[in-house]
Amino acid sequence: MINKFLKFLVTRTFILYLLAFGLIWGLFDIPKVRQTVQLKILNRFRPESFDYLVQTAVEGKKFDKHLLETYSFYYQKVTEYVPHRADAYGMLGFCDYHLGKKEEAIASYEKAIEINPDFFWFYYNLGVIYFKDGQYKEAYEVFKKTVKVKPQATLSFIQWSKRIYMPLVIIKIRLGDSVEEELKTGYRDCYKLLAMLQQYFFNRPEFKEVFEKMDVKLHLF
Amino acid sequence: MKIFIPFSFLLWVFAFRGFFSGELAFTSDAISYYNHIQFFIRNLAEGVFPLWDPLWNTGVPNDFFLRRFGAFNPSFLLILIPYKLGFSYLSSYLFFLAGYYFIGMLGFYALAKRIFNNTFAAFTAYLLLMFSSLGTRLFDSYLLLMVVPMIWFFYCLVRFNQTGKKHFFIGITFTLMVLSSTYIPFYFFLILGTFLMSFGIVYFKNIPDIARKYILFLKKHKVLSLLCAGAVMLALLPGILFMRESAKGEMAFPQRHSASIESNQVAVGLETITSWGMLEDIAYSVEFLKDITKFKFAVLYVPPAFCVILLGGLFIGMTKRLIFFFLWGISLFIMFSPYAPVYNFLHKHIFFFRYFRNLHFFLWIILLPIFILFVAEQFNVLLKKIPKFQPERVWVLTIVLVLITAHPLITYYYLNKNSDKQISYVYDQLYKTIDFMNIAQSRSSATPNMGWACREKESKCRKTFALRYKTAPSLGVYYATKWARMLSQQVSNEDTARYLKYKFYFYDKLGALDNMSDFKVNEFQSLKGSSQEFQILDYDVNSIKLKTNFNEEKFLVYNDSFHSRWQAFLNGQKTEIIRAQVAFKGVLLPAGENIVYFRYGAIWLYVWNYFLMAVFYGIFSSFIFLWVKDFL
Repeated sequence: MINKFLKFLVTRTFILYLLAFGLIWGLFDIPKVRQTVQLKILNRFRPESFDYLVQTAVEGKKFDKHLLETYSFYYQKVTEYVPHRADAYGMLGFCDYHLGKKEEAIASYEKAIEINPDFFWFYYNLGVIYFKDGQYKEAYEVFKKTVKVKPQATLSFIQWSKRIYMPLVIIKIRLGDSVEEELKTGYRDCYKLLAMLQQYFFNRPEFKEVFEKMDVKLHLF
Repeated sequence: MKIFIPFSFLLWVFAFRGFFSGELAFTSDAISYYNHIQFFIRNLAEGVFPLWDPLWNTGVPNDFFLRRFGAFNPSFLLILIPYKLGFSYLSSYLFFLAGYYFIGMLGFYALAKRIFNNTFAAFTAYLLLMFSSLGTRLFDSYLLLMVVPMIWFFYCLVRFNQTGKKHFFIGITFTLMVLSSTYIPFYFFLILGTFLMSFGIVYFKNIPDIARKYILFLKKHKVLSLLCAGAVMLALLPGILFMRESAKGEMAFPQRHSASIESNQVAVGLETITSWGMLEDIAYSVEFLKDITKFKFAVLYVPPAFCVILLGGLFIGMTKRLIFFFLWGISLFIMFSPYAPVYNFLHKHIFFFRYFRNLHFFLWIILLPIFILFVAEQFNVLLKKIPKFQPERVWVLTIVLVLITAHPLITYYYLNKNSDKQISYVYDQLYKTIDFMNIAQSRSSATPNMGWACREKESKCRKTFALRYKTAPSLGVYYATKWARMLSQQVSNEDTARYLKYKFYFYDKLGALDNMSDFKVNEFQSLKGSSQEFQILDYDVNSIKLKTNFNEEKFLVYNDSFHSRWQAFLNGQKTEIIRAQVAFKGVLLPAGENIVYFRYGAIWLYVWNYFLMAVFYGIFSSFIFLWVKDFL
């Protein structure tokens, strides 16, 4: 009976599928293959140029949704394949925000902060999202943390991020921007916003109108 | 079934309507193939066999491009039918692509029908392949040119085994010729090799019978067999000659050859080959299959009905055919995955493994059809379990058609949506504005649309004349002559472009040779209209005839790539071509009236190509004629 059943079993088609998986499992070094393939795919997903992304961000223009999605897709894949990359989460947050996915953008920046709590721009951009959304308490709390970050840590992280930030920084420099200057401006703006928010909380409701008119933008980080 | 097959094809055309209407653009390799097939067909229609392409990187031997798409394939003539009827070249080419794909799919249906002896299973296999993403590769690749003859090869092989009829033998010969006449027939030869190996293992008992049948046929049709064998040998020659030519080092393929240690320029290094393979293609595809709204080219996709059949057939009993397909498929997969130890060994020890690089092509051109046949066989076995079921009823076929095609129609809707809009192609623009054809058109008109230029260089009275022409767009150094490659390395793009605004330069002395400073001169004084001193009498892509009449001796530099196959004739007498300005052709002209004639290659080269073409067309015609005769 058992023999009959076994004979029945080994002559079924699924055995061929199992055999195929077995052969692949035996002949391929799966973890190594997985890692190599993922890296190659990331290179394939990498947009040919970051010019559009940087230029539009620097000039403060509105993003073309279709074009921005290409970048968003790439950063999404980086976060999936290399989940410890805070820079990728940051960029994903930036893209998502401009694609109108505010909740996802907040989640991405929070994740980026969780991985690297010493980067100025993650806090700053997260604070700006809250601020623009009218969530002033949340924005205030985030901005307080923002100014506590050491500028040197931020600059070191940008330098370390050879695959994500450096290609963008190179274009920014070509367009006449400076990372250090941008950071200085960031701190200045952040202190300004903190001061205004404090005034607002200390019974200056008219600031709300000012806030709504303010043109505060996320920085490309 | 007679209605369902053409209807499904129309449905498929509808799925790619954006491309067939010309609204959406070709991408990647499909652009290059479109350009080069256009170049070939248009010249052929003018009675010129284009062996030189003056438009690619200042001129290259066209042999490489002819080998790439298999120029002797008579199917390309189909493009000329709508073209001559007044359709644009793009529309004609798109008709051809759709038609050629349909011919391939019909072949697959016929093959499946003969294998399974079941029309319904064959129809299912046909739909699965037709609506797989193999069809998307018409617009971003050139795989179709390999897949279609290969399907027909296997169809003719199966039919010849079953019937022993002459025309199927000729069909095998013809498809083999088409597949062999490219510079990389290795893909097919390896597929055939693994097919024979797997067949030999699974059906070893049938081998003596089959061999006996073949021997009998060969004995009975000695002349035909010899002719067919001779034709296949002939078809292999262009590829072999091209390989020998590329070994001489006059052509450069920097992108392809950079990582190779072989001296032959067509050879590819292991690093280049393994940079993208089958596993990469699969993993890449999975990312897009997770969300079909992002669907794009080069994503491996089969209609989901495929998975349903696969799962449904998991517990059916194994058949010999299933084992054969499994063995064939798995051996190809393991052999051509660089992550398994086999491929590295083969690359190291077998020479031709160093001459083709796109290992992931195996996934598309053979593993996909094999897997579909495997699943169709599962379906075939399942159908046999339901003896009372009559699948060829209209409603059953309609349901199958809907089930298989519904999801692909949605998927390809997104492909249409995500694809780039049509732009005019490089060669389209080139033909209209700068190439020899344009000058040919102007030749007949009263006022030629070309300008003349006279150049004074600094204080020296070295007068030069040049025929003005717009610079060819940079196509990147993928393929160039060795000297053009050298030029691109030594001189900046701007300087080269400025220099190449003029097709001809006339120097007073030979001192101009390899003089880099000439590339930087940008002072030109244009002279309008024709001149007593210089005239173009005639030309095509392979040759040009000029008339000059200077008072003193001149050195003519013709800014078209130097290559040892070019010949020059001065007043009917052969004269030496001197390499000038790094990469171009130069000829010394005595004072007075001269007729200069440049031609690429000797006459026998053209005769040889026309002869080969005649052999291909002859074999193809006899295949079709005998088949139709047998059918009637």
